Amino acid sequence: MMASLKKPRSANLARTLPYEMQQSLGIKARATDCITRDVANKIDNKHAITETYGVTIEQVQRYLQRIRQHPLRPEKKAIEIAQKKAEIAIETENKRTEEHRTRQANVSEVLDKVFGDLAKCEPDLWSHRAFLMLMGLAYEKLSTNEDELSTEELVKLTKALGDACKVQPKVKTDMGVRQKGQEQTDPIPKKFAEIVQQVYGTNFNETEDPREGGVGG
Amino acid sequence: MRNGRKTREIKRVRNETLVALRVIYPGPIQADQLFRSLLVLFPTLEFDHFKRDLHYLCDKTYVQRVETEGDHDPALIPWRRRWFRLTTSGIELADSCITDPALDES
Repeated sequence: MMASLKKPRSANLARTLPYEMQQSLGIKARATDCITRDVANKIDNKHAITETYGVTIEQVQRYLQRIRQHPLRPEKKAIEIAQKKAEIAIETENKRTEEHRTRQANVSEVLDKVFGDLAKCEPDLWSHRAFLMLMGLAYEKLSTNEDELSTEELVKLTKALGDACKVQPKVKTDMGVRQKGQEQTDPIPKKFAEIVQQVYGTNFNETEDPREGGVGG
Repeated sequence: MRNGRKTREIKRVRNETLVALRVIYPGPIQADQLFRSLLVLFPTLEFDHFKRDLHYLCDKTYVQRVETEGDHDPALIPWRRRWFRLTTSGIELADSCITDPALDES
């Protein structure tokens, strides 16, 4: 009996307490804390323990002390598991962020290729809501991995394009206000026409109908 | 008042907002579109929280609101439809040329 008390080897060392001793002490063998608490409660009954099992209460206390300090104590293990879980969660989170950022970089490349140099749209194209809206939608769709435009979005886009066509904007530049008909230094990227055609399936030709701002139907 | 959000999450949202705006720099983008793209990373993000973060980034001059000529009364434009873009210090931060301890996640 003493041999098993001297060499604690696992977290469930509580179970190595002799069954009779557990019964006598009225403790649950599975929970170390329970043992500690219960033994502490019954510590005044030391004579009974010694008489029944031939061990002193000091020996039992030493044994319990050893359990408390054991590296594989269940409580300690639970903390380690929780820490590991938190680390894994952070790693997963970082991985997702990394993936999202890679996607953002790709979106940036696509937008740059499709819409041309974005610097061109600032500030000259701020009033061209259609351009910005289209670019924004492209960004949103690409970055959220959706591939279809909803009807509502198409309506929004149509309205914006319609507004842009009706009101020929006075574009503010560093040189002052530029009126319609004045020479423009290509404020809309060339591929914009292609994009509009792809979205609407209609022509986009500035030379055909300049009164309507270049959007044909 | 953090509305139950953790510090780490707040910093991540703000950083990702800068990263997203960097993609289209120097162009602006609407808050709603920005918010929707962030939902991929933060599915539980609420627009009110995001609005607060945008406000913060604007106050720190990393982000600026872009008012288009069509906005007769900019104050009346709903937040979701407002346009935002990075400022020079915003792009510096997004490109890691400068650091801000308040946005440092480590």
